Amino acid sequence: MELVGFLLLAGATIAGAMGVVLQRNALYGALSLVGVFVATAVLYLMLSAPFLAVLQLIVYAGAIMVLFIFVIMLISVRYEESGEAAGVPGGAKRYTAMGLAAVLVILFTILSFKMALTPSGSEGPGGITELGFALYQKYMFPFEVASILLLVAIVGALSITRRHGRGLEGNVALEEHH
Amino acid sequence: MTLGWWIEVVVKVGLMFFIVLTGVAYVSFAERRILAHMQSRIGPNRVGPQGLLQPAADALKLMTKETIIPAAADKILFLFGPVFALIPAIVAFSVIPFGESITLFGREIALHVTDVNIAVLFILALSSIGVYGIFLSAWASNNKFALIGGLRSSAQMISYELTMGLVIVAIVMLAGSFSLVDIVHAQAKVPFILYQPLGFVLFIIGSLAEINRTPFDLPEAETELVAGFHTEYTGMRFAIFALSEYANLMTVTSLATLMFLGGWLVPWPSPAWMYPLWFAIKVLILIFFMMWTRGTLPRFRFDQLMLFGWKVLLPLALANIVITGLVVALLERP
Amino acid sequence: MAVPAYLYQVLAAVLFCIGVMGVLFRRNILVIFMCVELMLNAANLSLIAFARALGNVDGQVVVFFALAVAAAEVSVGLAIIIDLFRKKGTVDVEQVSLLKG
Repeated sequence: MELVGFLLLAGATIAGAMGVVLQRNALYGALSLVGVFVATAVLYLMLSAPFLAVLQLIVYAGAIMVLFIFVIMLISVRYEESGEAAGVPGGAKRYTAMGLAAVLVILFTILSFKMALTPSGSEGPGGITELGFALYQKYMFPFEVASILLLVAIVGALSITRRHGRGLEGNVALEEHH
Repeated sequence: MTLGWWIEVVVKVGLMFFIVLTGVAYVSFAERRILAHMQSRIGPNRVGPQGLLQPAADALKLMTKETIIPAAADKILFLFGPVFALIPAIVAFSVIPFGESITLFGREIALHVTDVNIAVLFILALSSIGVYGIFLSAWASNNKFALIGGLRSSAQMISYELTMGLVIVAIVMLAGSFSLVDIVHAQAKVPFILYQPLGFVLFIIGSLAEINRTPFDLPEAETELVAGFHTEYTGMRFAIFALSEYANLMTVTSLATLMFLGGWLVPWPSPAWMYPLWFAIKVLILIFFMMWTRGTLPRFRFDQLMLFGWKVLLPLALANIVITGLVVALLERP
Repeated sequence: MAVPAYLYQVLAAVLFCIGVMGVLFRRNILVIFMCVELMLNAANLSLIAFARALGNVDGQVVVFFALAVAAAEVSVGLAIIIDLFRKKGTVDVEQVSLLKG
């Protein structure tokens, strides 16, 4: 039963990932990526990581992709032609890339099969409480550094998109025709 | 995965749909009557006794209206936009518990569809996903008013989600668990509104903004941007947007009741089967309060709205967390 | 029947490879960025699967930080893309391949 669920979700993630890579329209690609993230969140639930599943939905699907889609929408309004050549180039490039991918997948399969890891039958690594303890005791320093990183990212994003020489009106995403 | 389990799930899901859909219909009707009385008029009272069949008449009207799709609209997104708005609104109800577990037919049945130990976070995640319906519909309409309204609305929702999330953090600190059932049980002695008055105010304001209601409904105010992100939608699709707005209203009031007003618990002894009744009464009180604000307050301008959310509410929510954390830590010291 | 642990790793590897192909083949910088996020997601999946298999919570902690880092990276990356678009008027990487400007 669990295997059926896994196969369905795996199919959904792979279909979504192919959608991201192959779609001509960037907006549809972004929506496919949202689908991948939602399916991955369900996979995390199956892997006894409920907190991370919800966090994936809130952060990745709910914030990062919203940001992506805003930028795609704002850029497409100005940038009419998609200018993309055929989705996937043929010939040598294609075969090298696919060969490389196949090698990676096979290698990974053999390695993880050899490690003979079995799912730990029981509940898995505890729940939110255990994660909380780990975050606040063992990984306290990275936690604080992560908060500084986020602050740096906020300031960086604002300062990059700011138009120089203006005050509050400097932060407009794109030029406006007045 | 026994037959009993399947029957339980199917019945609960059916019941949940029924409650949500009729609740939405009658909340919208109640809003019209209540607002009307606040504005010294009567409101719809012709269809059926006292106008109680008005929602049915509205549903029929909206279903028979022609679906118009703008020629240059993005057809797939146009058709699916309302769905993205509706699904999170309804799914949020699956983790809201209405009372204690009851024993029927020898099984212990909890009064919510699923038993998730991260219920509060799940609702927050769903409201993050609900933002998609709005700006995708706005984009798909290929209409400048709709696009501006949609982007404003989603920016507003994202901003106020932060405040709500931080207030939820303070509540979780007090209750010690993310599960809504545990949060209600932690209020057995004192409802959290007494411990977190600031949190309650912040949550109510945040949720009004989150569901795009007055005084934060600039993105869809008729006098401002035609009709905001749902300008181009007709008939049933428009009905779906209205449905999702009222479903969201019911969700946030249920959440506020569970987190602050003690859910289904009352200070006097009460038989277990009456718990859903107390819960419903508290939720209806909060819904009335929200309709009251709609009839009373003027709306915020968009820049005032964003300023308020980021410069006033967010620091207050952070201060709330710090104070709550300090008090909890000091009181727990043996 | 429980899912054998290596299947999750295979899925993560496949997703990662699809992401790599996307980065190599697409010209729209936004799509390339999305494929990078896909690769990050695949790595996260692999980490959580290992955390489950080893009964350890450390994998989940790493994913937690990876999520925070991804959020920071996306915001700065999109800011750069917006700036690039303002200066060059295009998001096609073939046309902005000079380091000038």
